[in-house]
Amino acid sequence: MMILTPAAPAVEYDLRAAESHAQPAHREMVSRQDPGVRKRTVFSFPRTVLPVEGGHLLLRLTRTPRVALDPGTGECEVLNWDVRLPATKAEDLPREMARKFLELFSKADAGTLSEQEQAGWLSLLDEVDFQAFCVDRAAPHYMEGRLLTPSPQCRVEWHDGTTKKISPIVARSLSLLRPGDEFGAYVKLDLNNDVLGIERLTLIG
Amino acid sequence: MKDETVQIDFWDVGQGDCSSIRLPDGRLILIDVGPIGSPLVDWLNERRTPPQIEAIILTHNDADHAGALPAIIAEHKRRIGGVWMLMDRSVKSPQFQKTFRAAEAAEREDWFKIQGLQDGSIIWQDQNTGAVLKALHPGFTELMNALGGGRPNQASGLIVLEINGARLCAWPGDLEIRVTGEKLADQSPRLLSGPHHGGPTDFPSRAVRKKAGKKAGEMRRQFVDSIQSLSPERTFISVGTKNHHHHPRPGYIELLARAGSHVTCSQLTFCCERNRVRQRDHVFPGSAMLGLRPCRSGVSCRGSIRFYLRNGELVADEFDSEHRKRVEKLLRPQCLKK
Repeated sequence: MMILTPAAPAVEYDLRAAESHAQPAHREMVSRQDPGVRKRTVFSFPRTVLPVEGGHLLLRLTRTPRVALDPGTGECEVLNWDVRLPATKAEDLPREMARKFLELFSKADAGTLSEQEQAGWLSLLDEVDFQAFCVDRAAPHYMEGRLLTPSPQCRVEWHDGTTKKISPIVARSLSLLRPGDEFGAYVKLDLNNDVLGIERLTLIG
Repeated sequence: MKDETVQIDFWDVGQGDCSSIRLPDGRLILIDVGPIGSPLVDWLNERRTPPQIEAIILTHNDADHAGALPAIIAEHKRRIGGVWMLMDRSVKSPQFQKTFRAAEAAEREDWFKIQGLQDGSIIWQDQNTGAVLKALHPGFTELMNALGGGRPNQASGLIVLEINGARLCAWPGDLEIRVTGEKLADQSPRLLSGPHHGGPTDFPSRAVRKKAGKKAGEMRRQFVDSIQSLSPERTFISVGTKNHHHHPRPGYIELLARAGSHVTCSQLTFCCERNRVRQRDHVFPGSAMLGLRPCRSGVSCRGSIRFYLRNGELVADEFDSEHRKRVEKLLRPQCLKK
């Protein structure tokens, strides 16, 4: 077990252990601290990915969250996230962080953010990869195209005239097509409009 | 609908154009829909009750303005009132057929009507507020020139939103600044979108001036005069971080800023700061703050921006000052050069 006993409270520590380690570590730290000095101690919390929707969707963090531990109240707070929990429940931090994100995302979507929530949402957006989150959760788009070459490298010309290479795994969805066939399909796109998946294929006259 | 005002959203779609006008009853008017993978499609698909789309207007039939059309039609054709587009190229051209096959099929099935966009077309008007959305360009001659093999950008549509005769907003698509200036000479708009992603086709770049020889000076003077006659209060440039056309032109932004226009770009480009682009460090997440979806690629500078029509005036969303603060920290913010 790692003991987190800060020599100087201002120094930032690497909380290498996962959230399951946080509880005993905190107990150790509190017990060794001088009761007269009740300064908050800031630790880095080495998580860069938070599961959303049971892990089907991931929320990527752009920087390691920092957790402040307040010995006075026995609470830990994720800085910039406005997430507070009793230190004894530190293992719930990732869940609460993901929930906080989802809550503000939903309110922004509905246009119901209060002024305070707006400020919180803005600071939270500096901590997460919002672009990747939205792209990951987006439904496939309908696109039309023409199969240029099925193998060895599958190439498709989309309706806007761009030509894209399709990875062999994704290209299996087009295995019934012949070169020159025109089709419509729902296409899952990634961050650079590369094709991640093709479904609901139809042939176009 | 909780807000009784008209909202105009300029979407961050990367290198392309997309705007939406949300009417007080919740209906949408789309002016260009952006390229393939447009965040507008993601946003529409994720609505619990998708809005009615009164009209889709395409200022231009290029892929960066109309690429997302098949995706919108596939999911929302029941809710589309009509599509307005240019007949600027032969309908037999393969590219035209590919982009508009979905629209033509939906029209054949009687979901909506496709109408030609031409000078004088009135797309939408509201008697109560006196609001009119209409086209000022192209005329018959420009369309014929484009059909005869001219450059399609010269026949790009110019859409304006007017309230009680006051010209609030102009969408010139990919039209030249000189033509935009001429068409809007009687009254300059308060808000100008673009044109051509901050790189007007008649921008007298060094290479163009060199080629023009003696006429270079006159060319530049014409361009500067057009910008000064336009002098919009605000200009929104929809530009993609990764574009190979060197858009936006820093000289163009500088001229606009000197003419007193508050210039805002959707995405950050190399001309303002290289390192942040490389590190994918967004300046301001405008799309997320407005509850819209972000562009799939590129680095956001302002992201999307929203304007409200209140008492006949255009009011920008509340994030202008925060964006400005962040822009001031950039290495070479072109929009702040004066």
